[in-house]
Amino acid sequence: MTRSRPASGTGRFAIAAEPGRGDGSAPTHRPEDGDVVQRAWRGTVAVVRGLAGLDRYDRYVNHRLRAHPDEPMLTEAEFWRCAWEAEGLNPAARCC
Amino acid sequence: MSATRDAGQKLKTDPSLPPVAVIEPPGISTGQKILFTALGIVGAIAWYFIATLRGEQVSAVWFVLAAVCTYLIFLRFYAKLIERRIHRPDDTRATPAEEFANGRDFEPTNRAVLFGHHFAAIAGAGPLVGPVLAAQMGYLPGTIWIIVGVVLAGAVQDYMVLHLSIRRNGRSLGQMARDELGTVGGWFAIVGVLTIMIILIAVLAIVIIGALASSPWGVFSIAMTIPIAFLMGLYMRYLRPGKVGEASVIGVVLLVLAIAGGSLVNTHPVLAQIFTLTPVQLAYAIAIYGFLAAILPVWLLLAPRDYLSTFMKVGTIVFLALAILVVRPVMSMPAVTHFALDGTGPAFAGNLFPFLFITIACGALSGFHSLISSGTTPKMIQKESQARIIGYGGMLTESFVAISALITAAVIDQHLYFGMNAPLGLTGGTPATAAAYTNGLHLVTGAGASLPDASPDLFAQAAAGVGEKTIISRTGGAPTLAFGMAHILSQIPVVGAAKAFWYHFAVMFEALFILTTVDAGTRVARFMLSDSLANIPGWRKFRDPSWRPGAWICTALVVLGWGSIVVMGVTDPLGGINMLFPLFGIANQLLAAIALTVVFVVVMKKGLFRWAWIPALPLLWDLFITMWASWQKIFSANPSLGYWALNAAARAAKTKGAQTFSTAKSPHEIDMVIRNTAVQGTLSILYAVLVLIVFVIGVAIAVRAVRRGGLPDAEAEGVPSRIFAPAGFVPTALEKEVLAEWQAADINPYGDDRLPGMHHASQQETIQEENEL
Repeated sequence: MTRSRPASGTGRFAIAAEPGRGDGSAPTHRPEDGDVVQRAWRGTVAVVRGLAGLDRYDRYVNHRLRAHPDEPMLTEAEFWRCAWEAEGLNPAARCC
Repeated sequence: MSATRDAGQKLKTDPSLPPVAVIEPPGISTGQKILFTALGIVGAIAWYFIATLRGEQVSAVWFVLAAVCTYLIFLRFYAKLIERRIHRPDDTRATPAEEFANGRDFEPTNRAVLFGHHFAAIAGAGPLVGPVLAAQMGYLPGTIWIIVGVVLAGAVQDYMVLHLSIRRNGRSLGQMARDELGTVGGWFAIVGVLTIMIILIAVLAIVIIGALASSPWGVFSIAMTIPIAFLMGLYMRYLRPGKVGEASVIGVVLLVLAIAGGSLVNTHPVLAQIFTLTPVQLAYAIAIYGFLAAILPVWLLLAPRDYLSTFMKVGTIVFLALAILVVRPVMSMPAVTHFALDGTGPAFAGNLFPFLFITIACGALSGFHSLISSGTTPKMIQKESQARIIGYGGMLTESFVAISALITAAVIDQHLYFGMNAPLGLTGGTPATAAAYTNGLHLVTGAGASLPDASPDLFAQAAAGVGEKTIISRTGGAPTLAFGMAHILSQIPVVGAAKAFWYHFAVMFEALFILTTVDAGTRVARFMLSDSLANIPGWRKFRDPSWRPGAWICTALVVLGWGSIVVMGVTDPLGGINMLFPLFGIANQLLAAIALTVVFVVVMKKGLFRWAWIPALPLLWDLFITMWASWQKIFSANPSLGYWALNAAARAAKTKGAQTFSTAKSPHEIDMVIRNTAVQGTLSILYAVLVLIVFVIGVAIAVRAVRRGGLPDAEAEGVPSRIFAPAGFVPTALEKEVLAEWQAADINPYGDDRLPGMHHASQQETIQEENEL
């Protein structure tokens, strides 16, 4: 495929540009996603967990599974110990 | 051809993956035209009423409407202009979060979650305290500056710094300053950041001391947060390892019990005695606490309290906004008070120009945000095009918090507001003297008539209503905000019955995140200090973060720095907040000047001279107004304004052997005035000089860029992106189309199951890079 640079100057790494179909297609909900209420509830829980940092271990597990599937993984307790250790060495500033 | 152009373009970086970026079709859809026309009309009506309504019935609803409509219009059009003309976000390029994904600090994060994270990191006590103090000039000047300032300055700064950092591997402001301004400019920027951080911690500590002094209820609840955090920490580490959610629930329940239990302490004869502390005792307590908290392991205190404060912060802010909409309080403060024009206000001295603009920093323009926008958020953002909603939009949300705080202060009875915010030297501290003081202020109603005199009972009853011994001279803004919040909430049926509980809930809410800022700020400043010390030949050992003596020495030095300013502030005979808050505002605004200089230089280096006015406008305004304020603080001959004029006057009084001077009641207090003003004056000069040097270096580089038609900048090379996510909260038609393609290919567009594709930054490298600032 040829490298194409779209007119507006975006897309430095684009190898191909396709025109939008404009046919109104959108992702459909799968049966296993549940109805509107279930999806809304699950979305809210995910956002709250993400905000409070409760999903950090799950994300770590996902990351290890896809990036280093054959290496041993930290347990939840070990993970949090390491996370707190790292936070102590790299404090993030809070604003006024 | 026109039909395909209308639907926009989809860009691919990998033939085996669906598109990773979209180029939206030009123009505005009909739906958007209708929406923004409606917002424009509603906003204009709201502004019209704010500008013209006077009298007793100016409803807070107009402020909320004017703010929200202005925000949305500027987010859609002005931020979009910045996006199109300057940033030109490239979603085919991986963000640092994607490129360096390591499952920890670098990790693409859902945009709604990241928005919350970013907001929680930028919003603290600042947007609550500044507007409360500025309310002494009336509601109008503060409202205009908060709304106009944020859309043209504050949000622009946050957005541009965020974009800059995304393009530079998530580097921090200090590192970017060094890259773009050279070593000298970078070093001045870093010294500026370190000193500004010290004053920031100190002023926040003074704010919370103002709320806790001689308040057994408040001191008990705050003190209880320490054992609660310990308990949570031990629970998460040993009892039920890693169960952060369970510990948070336990913590929140205990916290509410601690606030409620405070009322028992308050009425208990012995316990009330124990928990009644003077400001000086509290200053030492906070300094000791700050030192211990910064050297204790994170899991024991900082991490658990962080979970508590995130819940408290977001929850309380949403609660306050809803309460304002439900109660629809009317303004008690007039649009403009005479303090705006004669500069004799008790909360802080000086005229509207320039002092309003440094008093309200967070909420309109806050330099400190540039430290969050660079460094933390770029490591979590999925797509470059999301920076607009997160950087610009996040700051708009903070501005909304500032408007809520301004409303909260402006609905309080004026006698109570001024009685709370005037220093002890003016109010005398008793209901009778306070009433006499506020009656002598010539307060007027919104309609311009004289305000009826207050009786001493007003102050006594107000204090009893919120479960405090006194509310007189509770300066610093936090008690006023808590009082205003309790006042608004008490007008809601059922909820309002517990007015005293709400007052202490609000105090606790502010104290929690101020303590977190004190603790985290001390840690950050400690690392900055030890990194700087490590550059001294023979002191390399300081670079090793696990070398305990080095950590203790640097922590002690940092705590000594801010601790001495806190002690100075609480013992200041002239009122610490009154003297130090301007310095805090100046420091914050000068940090903004450093950040905007870096942004401006990069725009010039890129050769975008036609659009350089976008960062230049807030930069020049900020520099002008802050230098004006600094000039007055340094050179004014008026002792109520100039630090050195006051210093000279106090010296003159001392040589004459005077026993009292202004509100200083003894020769010892006169000595304190001389010492404090010298420190404050020196700091004012230091900040101004540091920032001017950075600015001059920046202008020199900009001039060179104009001569050569642009210069190379330090933008990272970048790698192709392999994930897709919508730019805004709601996907556009074209984005939905792309999401559908990902779904059809059965690949997770957010990359949660595929990352990382490319590079790995080792943990060691990450730590090293972050420690550099």
